[in-house]
Amino acid sequence: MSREYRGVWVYIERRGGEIVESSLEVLGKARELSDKYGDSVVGVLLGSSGLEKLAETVIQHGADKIYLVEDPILSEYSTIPYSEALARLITMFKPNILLYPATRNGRDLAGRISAKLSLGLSANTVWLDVTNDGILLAGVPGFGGNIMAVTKCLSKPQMATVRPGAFVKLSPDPNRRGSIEKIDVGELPKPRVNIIESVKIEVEDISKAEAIVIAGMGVRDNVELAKKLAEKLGWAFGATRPLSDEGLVPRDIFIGATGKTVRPKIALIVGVSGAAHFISGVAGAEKIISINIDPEAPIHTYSDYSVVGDAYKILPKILEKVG
Amino acid sequence: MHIIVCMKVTPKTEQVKLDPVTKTIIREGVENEINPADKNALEAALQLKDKHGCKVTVIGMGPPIWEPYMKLAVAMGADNAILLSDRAFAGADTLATSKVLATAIRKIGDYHMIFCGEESSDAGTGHVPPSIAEFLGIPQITFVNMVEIIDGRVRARRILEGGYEIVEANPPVLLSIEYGCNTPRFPDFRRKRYVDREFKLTIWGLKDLDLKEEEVGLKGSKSIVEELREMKLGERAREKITGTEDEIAEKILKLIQPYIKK
Ligand SMILES: Cc1cc2nc3c(=O)[nH]c(=O)nc-3n(C[C@H](O)[C@H](O)[C@H](O)COP(=O)(O)OP(=O)(O)OC[C@H]3O[C@@H](n4cnc5c(N)ncnc54)[C@H](O)[C@@H]3O)c2cc1C
Ligand SMILES: Nc1ncnc2c1ncn2[C@@H]1O[C@H](COP(=O)(O)O)[C@@H](O)[C@H]1O
Repeated sequence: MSREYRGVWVYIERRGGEIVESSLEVLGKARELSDKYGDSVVGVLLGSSGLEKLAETVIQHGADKIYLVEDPILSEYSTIPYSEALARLITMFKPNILLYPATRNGRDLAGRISAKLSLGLSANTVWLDVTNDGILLAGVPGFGGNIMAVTKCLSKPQMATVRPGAFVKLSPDPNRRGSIEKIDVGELPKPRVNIIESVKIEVEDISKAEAIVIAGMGVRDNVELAKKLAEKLGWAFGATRPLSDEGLVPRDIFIGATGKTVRPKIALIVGVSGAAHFISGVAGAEKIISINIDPEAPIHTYSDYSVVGDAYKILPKILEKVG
Repeated sequence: MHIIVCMKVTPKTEQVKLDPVTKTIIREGVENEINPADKNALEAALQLKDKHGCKVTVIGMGPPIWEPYMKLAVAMGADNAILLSDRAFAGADTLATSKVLATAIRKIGDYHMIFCGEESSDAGTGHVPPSIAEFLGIPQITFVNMVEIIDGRVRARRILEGGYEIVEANPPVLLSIEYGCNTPRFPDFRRKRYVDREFKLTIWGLKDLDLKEEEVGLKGSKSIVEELREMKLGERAREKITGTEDEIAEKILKLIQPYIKK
């Protein structure tokens, strides 16, 4: 085994003083891969200051070591300084594997690093494995999730972005010990995109919901009906992407290849056609009940229980009966 | 301003199947389309053209069968289209793809903005846009659903998990445009006639670009596909629930009863 490249690195995404949850999911998987071929897990944290506390959290979730880069320029994510800082770290320490959460900023960064250092990069992976020699096998979903390509990188570090929700984070172990190293990467270039305004929209995180009502374009004329049912049942409420593209529901509740992944015990799916890009986000549900007026809609195939019928007529009846 | 739109052609997702024996993608009978997000990127560029008189060039790296789609983009309103087509380009990963696109864009030269789709519907990586920007040494604004030109600067709304950012940059800058953020127009009748009668698609091969064979296609790629697997998107029992609306509601209620939170 070539030991020139060592360590399974995870880029830990941070927003303000918080670690983005999907980074910890990736870290959990990194731990497993690293244990399998006998390597260590390294978390990479970039920011302006005060990162030690976050570093402790990362260690508790499975890292052996943390590299911190602190510079006022890194206070919030910006492509140019972040990609430069990370590229320099990679060149200095030569990791064997580098994983990123496939969040928007994670993908923004990883694509840039790939070109900067001429490195292979597997995208949005939902499945990862490693050989005894530390060769990473990465499962990339294609065609909306219909097909998975098992890919290999021909360069090192072997890189992949990892789909949020694909893996679960480890429960924190307060007794886990790890080292924290601050690294000086030299002067960094300034951002070339200025953030004029940064707006947070707080919505309930549906990815952990145990039960959910999901609405699609078939109920676009009365999304409230589906939402009301969700409320009455005490369930989460999700939607398809077109509903959110139309501005009828918030961005952060759409489900699918480019949105959230949910794994509820039960999902009631109404007015949704069942496109592959959508289905890949609910495929992990234990039980699916769907209502669609079109007997030919693919959603029926993906349902445990399916109703060919009009959601506008059936939903009020359910609401009535729930009382 | 000159906007270059990177556009690819993809098979219609729902029609794509894996051959259960050979484990390769069955291409026969599958219809193609302009990658959905790229249609939105083109529309965003054309809206800026309508407003500010920008010039719009469409560029794509793909086989000759993409020709009608490149022409379709011109019929929709693009001023020019260039197809980068060469056997040597085949089998490219995102790195090799971005390199060819960036090299061609450099050859075009006078551009102010590059628009890409946020991701392609087949590969779905979203990695090509940032890689192109890096090769060109220009800034990038990814996942944009609104773009304006204000006093020569580019202002965009960038959608993130849990919110958005309004950002500004000076050109040249690359933007990746969100799928579904606008309604792409239909081809214009008169432009369609122009495309059919007069327009000539520019085709560049490897020899037209300042690149070596080892840098492009499969040879220039740093990631390879080992194997394709069908994903169990979970075909299920599909037990039919039938009856009057009242009966159906009653049956559904029975199923969901154990999960209702009081
Ligand atoms: C790159 C890319 C990424 C994408 N990512 C996602 C993603 O993450 N998530 C996502 O959801 N989509 C995504 N899509 C879009 C996806 O391909 C589909 O277009 C989308 O999922 C369809 O949404 P829908 O089912 O709500 O609407 P439609 O496909 O329009 O379906 C509406 C359904 O409602 C039914 N209906 C109509 N009236 C009634 C009624 N009265 N009662 C009951 N049923 C009724 C119709 O029969 C129809 O089947 C993506 C597409 C691309 C290209
Ligand atoms: N072969 C190609 N030709 C032109 N543009 C491409 C090509 N591949 C990717 N792109 C652009 O990059 C975007 C993202 O693609 P991807 O990174 O493959 O998901 C697409 O929406 C296109 O705008």
